[in-house]
This record gives sequence, structure tokens and C-alpha cells, in this order.
Amino acid sequence: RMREVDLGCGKALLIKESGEFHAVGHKCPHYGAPLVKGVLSKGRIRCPWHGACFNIGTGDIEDFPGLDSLPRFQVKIEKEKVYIRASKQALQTQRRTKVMAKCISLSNYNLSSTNVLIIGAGAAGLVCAETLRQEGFSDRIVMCTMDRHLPYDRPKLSKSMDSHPEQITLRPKEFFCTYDIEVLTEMQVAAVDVKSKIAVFKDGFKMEYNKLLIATGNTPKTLSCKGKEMENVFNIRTPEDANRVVKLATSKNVVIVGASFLGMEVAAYLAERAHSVSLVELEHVPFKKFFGERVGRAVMKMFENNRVKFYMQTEVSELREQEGKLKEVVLKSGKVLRADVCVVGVGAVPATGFLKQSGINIDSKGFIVVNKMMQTNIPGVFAAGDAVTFPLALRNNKKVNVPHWQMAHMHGRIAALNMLAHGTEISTVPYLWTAMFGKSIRYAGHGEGFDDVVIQGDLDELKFVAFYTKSDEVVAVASMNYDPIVSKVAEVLAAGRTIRKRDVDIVTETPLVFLSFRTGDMSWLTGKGS
Amino acid sequence: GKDRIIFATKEDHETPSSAELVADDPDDPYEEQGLILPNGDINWNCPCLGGMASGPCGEQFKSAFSCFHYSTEEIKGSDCVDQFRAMQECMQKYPDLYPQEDENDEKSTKDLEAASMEASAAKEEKGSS
Repeated sequence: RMREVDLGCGKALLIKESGEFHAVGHKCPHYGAPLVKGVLSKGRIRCPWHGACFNIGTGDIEDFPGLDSLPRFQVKIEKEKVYIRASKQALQTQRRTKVMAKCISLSNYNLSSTNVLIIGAGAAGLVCAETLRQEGFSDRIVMCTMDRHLPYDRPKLSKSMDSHPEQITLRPKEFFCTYDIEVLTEMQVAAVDVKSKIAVFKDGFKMEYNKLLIATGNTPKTLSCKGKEMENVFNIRTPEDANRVVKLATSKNVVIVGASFLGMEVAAYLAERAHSVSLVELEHVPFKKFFGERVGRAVMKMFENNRVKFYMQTEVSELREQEGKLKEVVLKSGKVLRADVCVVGVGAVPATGFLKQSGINIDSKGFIVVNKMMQTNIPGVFAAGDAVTFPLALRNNKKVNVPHWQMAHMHGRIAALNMLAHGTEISTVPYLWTAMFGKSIRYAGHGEGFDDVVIQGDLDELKFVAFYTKSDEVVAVASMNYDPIVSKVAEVLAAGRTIRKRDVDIVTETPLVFLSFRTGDMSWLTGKGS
Repeated sequence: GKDRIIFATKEDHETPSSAELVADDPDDPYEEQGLILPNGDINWNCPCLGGMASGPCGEQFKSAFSCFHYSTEEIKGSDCVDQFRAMQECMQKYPDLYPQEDENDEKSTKDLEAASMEASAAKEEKGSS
């Protein structure tokens, strides 16, 4: 029902659904994945790599990551033949930036007042600004950030640690000028007065707003042991952090604290560059809480095969220095590790301390509480992204925090639509990925509190799908080398359907069968059990 | 720029496609029947099978799939290798109907993804207008 068609100067994706033909761009605008390998369901196509969704009729992006949509090509049926008409430029660029408005009323504002103020220039903030412009909003938009840079591709910080800020920027500088999205960098908000609708910055500057979006994200946790203030101990929060770590780690000894997404990705990146890489973790396997023990153990083996050493079920008790620089990391287990650089990835807390006195409802963990329209308890004040807790339809509207890239985009979009009073409620399936040693683990759903894991495939070969279940229901799915199963399950869940634990065999049977006949590989039949 | 018009034949789109996930409630009278009928039999008409139960290799497919489905081996289906081999041999005779995804294609897709992790998305952006 989907196939790539070569039109000479580029390819198109030809889709047949419910008897109708559509043609759109064939590459996902996010990272260039071949959409023909994705999942087609009820008028949209989901990318197999990171879950972005595109409407097959319009090519418009409907779920994230990524900012651009697909170009749409004209299809005509004449005498049993299908004709596709496409512009050369669209075929070459394979992306379409949605039409956006500009600001027409800049003269109405003095320097210190705006219509929309967005605090935070991450994915949520940027998508909010872009969505407003896409919907024709032509009033002033100001985005402010503590960071030094325009919005950048945060997932790259731990996967491509040598990338410079300009290389991973999400939109070029000119984009912000063209569409009148003002970005104030190195500006930190100290307090928000919701009654007077004024944001007060650390340097004393005050900005009046009409609508406010708080999208400040997270602050990484630091170590609490002796010596934590030492030089060469890092969190990875900015491109500068990542670049600096790579410089200091090359041919040296690295100790990474925390074996979840950040720690593992950094360990993988540095494994072939550093002299030694050691991972310190409280649990006995990496990713235990997220992917479960069996998957965690399989991933751990891959790392050990790549010379990464694990020190599990322990934590850092002390950092020792020599001439002001880090020299050793002492573990509670008694082990002393030679260390030139230490990277800390032990979780993060929402960056919402500055809102304590504001009157905006914040829960006990510091997350800003919002409803399905990203509204806080204060009219005109919205919040989005990592700093937020929101009702997840997938889990019966339980309030959750989903600190991941895709969700931040979706939050930004929903917030913008509701700033314009569209009344749109969020309805999406959380999707994330992690990449290490050239391999990706894809994940969809919300697996918090799973009580069982059903695994199909071969864990040792890192070719598997894992279904996380809570009593009888599948709540999340993860896979390695099993595309497009995670996108498939994401579409089933997005349609509001339940996958029962006992159906999992059936659900994986059919992809398995096709996998075997398509690749001619039947080793899963005779290979080791999982 | 000038438009280029290319055509593809309608028949090219009758080939079997990848499976649809089905997890329908067999008790729901409004739901299309899923892969397994209420009596436990396999529904060979399930759209999730992409038409593989019919056509020149339909019998071999049904034989292999039934074997797999009812297999109680520890490695499910490990007692069905012969049936799968027969199915494969049949499908290889009709490459237009059963396109084989070759290993090179799969590997190059993985390489493409690994490379995209290292490359900068922004570079592509600046290349376009």
C-alpha cells in the first residue's frame, strides 16, 4: 500500500489507502528515515525510526519529532495509469516548512511588552512559537532563554557530543528574523507576577505579557558527595558541556555516574575515544526501571563487549583531586577509580524554583500542573515540556511527567492552539529513542509500574521486541532491530485500542512471519531462546 | 522549475503489504474480525495477513503459519522449519508478488540511521531555500 517511486530528480512516496492514491515526500524531515518502511494507518503515516506522523492527504506533520512537514504531490488516475506531478524543488528538498505569518503590529509594542512571552527555548517553546505563526498569529512573540544559543537539537548532546551549537541548531538565525520570533538569550526569569502579568528577569528587566508559556525544562541533578565542586565534573546540559567533556576525555579515564539514557549514551560515545570508561550505578543492571532487567542486561553485555566497565549496586562516596583537578572517584563499595573526567547523569528536577511565590500550581515534585490543553490554574498562563505534569489519555488521564523530546514538541503545539482558544486537547502516545554504538532502542507508551515483560526475538542478537504489561494490558513497547513494530504498536495505542497480554503472541506472529520471508532469515526459529 | 510526469501502474499496488496489527475484541459485534476467530481458528481473510493466504503460495503460507500458531515448542515454531522453507521456495518463484527485502537494503537502512545520529540536521536545512 506504500511504495517509493523515482521521478528522476527525486523520489516520492506513493500511497494507496481506502482505494485512493496520495503522493508525498518519501524521507522523514526529522533525520531522513525512509517512510516507506513506516506504518500506514487511517490517513497518516508514522515514521519507523522516531515516531513522527504525517497526514497522507496534506503531508502535514501531526506528531513529532521534527519541525517540517512533507511536500505533497499531485496524483491523477487516467486510463488505469497513475500519474504523479511534482515540482523539482520539492523533490530535491523533501521537506515543506508550513506557511507562517509575520508580526504586523510590532509598532504597537514598546521594548518591555509583548503579546506572547515564552520562557524557555527548547522544543516546547519553539514549536509553540512556530504553531502560533502557522495559525496566522501576527502579534508580538518573544522567547527568552538562559542558554547562550538559539533552539538546538538536545538529543544530539549525548549522541553526537562533538557537535558545535551551529551544527545542531533547529532553525537558522534568519528563520527567527523572517517570522518575527524574537529570541532573547542569556536572559533568566527570576519571578512571574501573574496579577500584573509581568515577568521579572534576574538583571531587573521587566516584560509585560498577555499570554505566557513556561517551558523551562529540567535542571540536572548533581552529586552530593565530598568533592562535587571539583573541576572536570560535568552534567551534560549544553553543547559546551558536551564539547568540553570530549576534549578532556580523549585518551583519558572517564567515570560516568548513572546508567540511564544520558549516562549510557555518553559512555557509548566516549568508549572508543577515551582510555577507559567506567559506569557507576545504584541498580544491578542499566535501564532497569525503564526497560526492565532482561533488556538492561542484554544492553549491558553490548557495552562490556565495547570495553565499558560497570560498577553496579554502588554509588560515589567521594571525589579526590590533585592540583585542583579530578584524580579519583571513590565508590561506596570501596573501589577507587582513576578518573580525569566525571559525567553525572543521575536524573533531573524541573526548573520551576522561580515560580514558588507566583501562585501557579506546582506539585510536590516541582512539576507545573496543567490540564489537557496545557493550561495552568492561572488564566492565560500555559506550561509545556519536561517541567510539566499533564493528564495522559493513554493511562486514563493519570497525571504524568514525560520528559522526552517528542512530548515537548506536542506540548508546545497544544499550548499554542489553546492560546488561540482552539480548545484542542492533547492526545498522543509518548515515543522516545536512545542510540548507542550505532544501534537504537525505540520505545512507545508509558510503562511506569509494569509488572511483566513479554519478549519476542533474540536478546543476545539485540534483535527483539519487548512488551511491558500491567496486569492484562500492554502499557509500553520497546524494540531493537525489529522495525517498525514500535511505530505499529504506537498507532494501535493512538487509535485508542487496548493490546491484551495474551494477544501479544498474535501481535508479534505476523511481523515475525513477514520478517522471515522478507529477509530469508529463519534463524529466529532455530536460534537461542530468549 | 518544469514538472516531470511519471506513471506507475495500478496493478503494482496489489502486492501484499506489511501486516496490520490486530487486537480486536472478538466479542464486539461491530469490530471487523481479527486474526483469530471466536472459535479459535485462524481467520485467513484477516487483512492483517496482507493477502498471503491466497495467491500461488497461499497453501504453503497457511501450512507454515498454522504450524507456527499452534506450535508449543519452547522456541515457538522451531518445529515448522520445513513448512517455512517450502513457503520461502514458493515465494522466491514470484518475486513480483512477494518482493524480497534483501539484507543489503536492511543494512544500508541501519547505516543511514547511525550516520544521521552523527550528522547535523541543520546542514540539510541550510541546503534548502
